[in-house]
Amino acid sequence: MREEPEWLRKFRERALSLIDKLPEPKYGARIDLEALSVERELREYDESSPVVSKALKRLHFTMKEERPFLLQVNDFLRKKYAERLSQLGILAEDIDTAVRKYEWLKDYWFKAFPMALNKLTAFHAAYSRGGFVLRVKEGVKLKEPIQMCFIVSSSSYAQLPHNIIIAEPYSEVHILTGCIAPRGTRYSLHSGLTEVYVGEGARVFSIMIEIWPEYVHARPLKAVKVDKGGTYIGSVIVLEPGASYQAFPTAILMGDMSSVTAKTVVTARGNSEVDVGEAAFLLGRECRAILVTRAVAFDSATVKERIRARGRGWRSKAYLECSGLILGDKAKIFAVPELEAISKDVELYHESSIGRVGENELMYLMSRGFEEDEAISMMIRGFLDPGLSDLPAPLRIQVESILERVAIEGL
Amino acid sequence: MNTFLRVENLHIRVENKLVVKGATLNIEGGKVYALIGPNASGKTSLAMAILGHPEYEVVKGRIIFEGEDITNLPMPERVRRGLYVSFQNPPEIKGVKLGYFLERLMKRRYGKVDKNIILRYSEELGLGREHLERDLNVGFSGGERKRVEVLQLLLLKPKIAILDEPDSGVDIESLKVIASTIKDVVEEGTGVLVITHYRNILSYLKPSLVYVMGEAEIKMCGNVEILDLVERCGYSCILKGVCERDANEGGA
Repeated sequence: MREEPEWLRKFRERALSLIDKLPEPKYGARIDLEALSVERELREYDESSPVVSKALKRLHFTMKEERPFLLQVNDFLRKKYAERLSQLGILAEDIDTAVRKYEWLKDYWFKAFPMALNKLTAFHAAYSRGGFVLRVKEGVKLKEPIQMCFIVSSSSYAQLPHNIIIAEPYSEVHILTGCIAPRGTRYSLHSGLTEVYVGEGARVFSIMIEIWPEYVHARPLKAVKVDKGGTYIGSVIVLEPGASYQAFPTAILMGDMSSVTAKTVVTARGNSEVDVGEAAFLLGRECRAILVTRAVAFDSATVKERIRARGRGWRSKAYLECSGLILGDKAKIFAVPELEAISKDVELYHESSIGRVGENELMYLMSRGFEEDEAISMMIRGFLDPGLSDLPAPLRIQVESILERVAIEGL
Repeated sequence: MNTFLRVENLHIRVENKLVVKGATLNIEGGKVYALIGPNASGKTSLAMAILGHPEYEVVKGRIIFEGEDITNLPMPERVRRGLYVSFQNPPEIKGVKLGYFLERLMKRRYGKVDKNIILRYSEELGLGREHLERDLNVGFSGGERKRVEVLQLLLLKPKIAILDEPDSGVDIESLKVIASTIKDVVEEGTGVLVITHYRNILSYLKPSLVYVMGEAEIKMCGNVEILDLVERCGYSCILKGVCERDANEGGA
């Protein structure tokens, strides 16, 4: 048995008792949870191991000694870095340790994300292991991105890390996360659950880049709570969605004048089954939400794009966009925008479109000497790019280099 | 050998319709040529077929580029050999920034990118940094689009360029800029064929030969005096051959 505080043990017991009673997840391909063991610990890697260097290369991440990754790689550098962050006023710790040290964590444990949503969320609540806690003190602003990297290499396991990010009032933090499993990883589930608490006037910027091989099922779970005047800006880039991928990150805009910009871009190949999108609840007065999903479907991939806004707060506004580009002969894309206004004085808009690469544009690029593949890749980059704007410089550079790879290696 | 492009008796079909039924012309490096003619006479089709656009099928005749028969070569191959064909209506390409596009173009052509050159050339054409930051042609005025076409000409320095109406929908200031850029490129050795409906650009460029197209054929060619004839008598009269004696039979 692991040593966990009483409150957490009780919480897990309750979650466990609910698994059988709860429905299957509403979206995404069915996963047989019983066929999966629960991974004990996140594996530690040597930074020089080929698994790490390959993973970082594919994610376009660079290992910097002064800014190592907060997980899994090089314990020593990590500790030094955590010390430096703590001097700046940022607590960065692995969650299994943190939960034994900090009683206050229970006030953030499944307080943004609903535990009893479905079988998977209760399963997660019962068995989660690993993950990180990041707490930025009031008024502390750090513009250099904090880097995180999850490497999954075990087969037949469910990897269930729980991450908690707390930005105290008027703080600012930038987070870059990479999730990857090496090629050859067999049937497994990766389901990281992330809860983000954006305090009054605080700003959180986040990019997540995901690469999953063909047998991995990915179910990132995420909820963001935003207080008065707070801002959350996040982009998720799913370069390879694995066997199946489902995510529906949800922002709850509690405070007046809080805002969210959440964007997802996906490139799906093979037989991937993808179900992605974002949701926002605009509860405070004068809240703003921008939700964008952009998907490119190759081969016989299927992508469902869902975007949903529920507006209640006085003079709140939401703009939703989902678009798809079909390149595969057997590919499918579905776009499902949903607007729910539950009071007057809210304005909700959406725009959706699904299409193919424009013949005229393609001919134009080819008339300037680009091969067909190159021209299509350039247009894919162009199609995905608006899904990734609004990011501050260092994160933007990361995105540019990923997009450039899509543009050059694209097909 | 200075003849870069030779088009011999070209017949072009688009969607089962013969749109060009005999076009012969020569373009040499360092010279300007004009291709004029009424609407729908096949000028753009000729340009597109020379470019190798797959919708324009060559059913008869040949295209020779520097002695090599390129009639069946794919479009990017022709471009790589030094052919440039500008579009009459360049499309908007969302998400592809003009600056990024030009960098890729330069990288393709020269193997390396010099952002200073891109900026300098852009400024020469009255397009600034703010244009380079915008998506290619998205929200660009007619004149700006034409300037972007000529900017690429300047950047690529092709051996042969066919410019399809670089002057239509362009104000007088833009026209001057566009014409003087074309002149510069010609001075550096490019052979340019300008398709146009207007006298104005030709009075800047002073073409050494004017081709007249009508009824899907190149009917005649001659020196700039043809332009006077067109102005005086109109295409219909010229194409009927009434004024033919005033123009020099040219071509080969």
